[in-house]
Amino acid sequence: MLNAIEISNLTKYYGKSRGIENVTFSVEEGEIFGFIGPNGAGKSTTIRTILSLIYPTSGEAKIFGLDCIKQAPAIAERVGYLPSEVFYYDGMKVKDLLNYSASFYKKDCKGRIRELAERMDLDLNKKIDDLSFGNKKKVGIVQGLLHAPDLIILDEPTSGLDPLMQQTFFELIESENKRGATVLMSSHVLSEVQRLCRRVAIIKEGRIVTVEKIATLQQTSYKRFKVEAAADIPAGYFAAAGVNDLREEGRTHSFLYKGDINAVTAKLAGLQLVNLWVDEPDLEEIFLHYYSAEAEI
Amino acid sequence: MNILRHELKANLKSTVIWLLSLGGMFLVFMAFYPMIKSDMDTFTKLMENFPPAMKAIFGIAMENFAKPVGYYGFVFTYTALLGAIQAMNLGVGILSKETRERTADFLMTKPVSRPKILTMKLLAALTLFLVTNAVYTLVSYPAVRGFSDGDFESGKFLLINLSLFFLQLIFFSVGLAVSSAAKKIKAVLPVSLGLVFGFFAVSAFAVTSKEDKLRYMTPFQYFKADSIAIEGRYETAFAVTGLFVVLAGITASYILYKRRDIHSV
Repeated sequence: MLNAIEISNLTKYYGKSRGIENVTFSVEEGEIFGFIGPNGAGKSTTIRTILSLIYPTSGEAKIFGLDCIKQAPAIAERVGYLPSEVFYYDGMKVKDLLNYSASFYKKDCKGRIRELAERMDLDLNKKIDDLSFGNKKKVGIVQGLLHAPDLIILDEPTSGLDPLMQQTFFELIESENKRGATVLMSSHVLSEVQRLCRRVAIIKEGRIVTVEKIATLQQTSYKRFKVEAAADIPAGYFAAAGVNDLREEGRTHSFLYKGDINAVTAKLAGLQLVNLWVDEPDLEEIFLHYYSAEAEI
Repeated sequence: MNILRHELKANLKSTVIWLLSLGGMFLVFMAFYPMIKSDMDTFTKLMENFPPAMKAIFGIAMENFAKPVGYYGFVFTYTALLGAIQAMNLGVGILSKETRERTADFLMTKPVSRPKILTMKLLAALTLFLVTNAVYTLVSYPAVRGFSDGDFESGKFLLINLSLFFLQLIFFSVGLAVSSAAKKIKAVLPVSLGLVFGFFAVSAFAVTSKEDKLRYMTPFQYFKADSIAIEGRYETAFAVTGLFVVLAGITASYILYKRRDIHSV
């Protein structure tokens, strides 16, 4: 399998402050790849570097085998980019902006513009200034896809889209992927990455923590349990291998758990329960517990 | 070409406004000419009371003032000032607006190199200056000619007007270089007005101090309309300096713009 993106030891410092350090990962051609991490971890820095919007301090990145800095225009021919926040020229109509965008590519994009706008339910004759945030985002999506790019790079694509539109957007991305496009999308929401992506890279404080298949990540991922019983639960009742961050407050105990789920249900069966919560821990919790623990081992 | 077209469209409105101001100001100044000419004796006496420095700052050269082109040399001081502000605005704004209005992400992820973007923007600015100068000359030529009774020196007049174009190129290049070197330009007008009035102040100082070296410090002194009206030519040393400033400013802009990090928000 060929790699659409190859990033090796990419480092970016803003003066003395850290952007990213030795970021290394590859995205295979044809896959949907997630790039997750909390805000400020370096997702945008990485993406902006491979798009040659900013220049790396050291290291290199290649897209379709071409150097991201030296051959940026040739790469851009085949890449569609949707920034996390979209801003466009004042006073332009949606179709003017899209036609301007299309004029940069050596192909006819009219059909795609119409098709995508219809699919996203976007009015081409409105002025961009008059659009809501969500609708501006739609302009961004159409703008990023109108030249049928081979690689789609999305930076926090779903922020500001209502759930219904997110759904349409995900379907759109999936169909673009079926058409043959490789997708790199960054997010700080694990669930949306889980939905679409086959593999993810996790970035924390400027460094790649792991590159994993989603399936593996889910297997190893923690569940957060919160148990409320009818009577006080004995101290240390849930203390066992795989239990972390145990908090005991009389009748309510909570903990993070990783391992065989039956071990917990067996214990639960021994209690008279009033209430029970089982949640996927959010991304920050994974970082706090899973990865800090992993680092120690 | 698409970038060029886009830039021309984006700057059309402001160019029209600048043209109206330039033309309007010119006509107001020229409206005073018949009065001054008919009452030249009184005016000369009045001017004798002015300190010479003051006259120099306002661009008034007495030996030539009654002639239409001489008077025009005085008017042109203000044409040059307005034209300089227009050019400086465009120079400071044309690149920095992309980052300020956050459209840089759009433009710079397109299959076009940064030098090409800059070249297209330069061509757009050049076109706008050519249009500005052509229209200004079309308005001012017949007007000044109309006021003169056969003693119109069209060569000197055109030489003065042509210096507006050169001045605009110089100020544009300085503005462009400043915006390329600056980390961020939050608003164009304070920067460009500050620079232009700074140069204007230096110019006034250069005239009053009679120190020739100071004249190199401000583009307003490279083409002196009052001396062109008398001599009928540019001063070579200053014209060359102007050319050098343009080349240096544009070269610096290419180098800085190519290396620049485009930050989000």
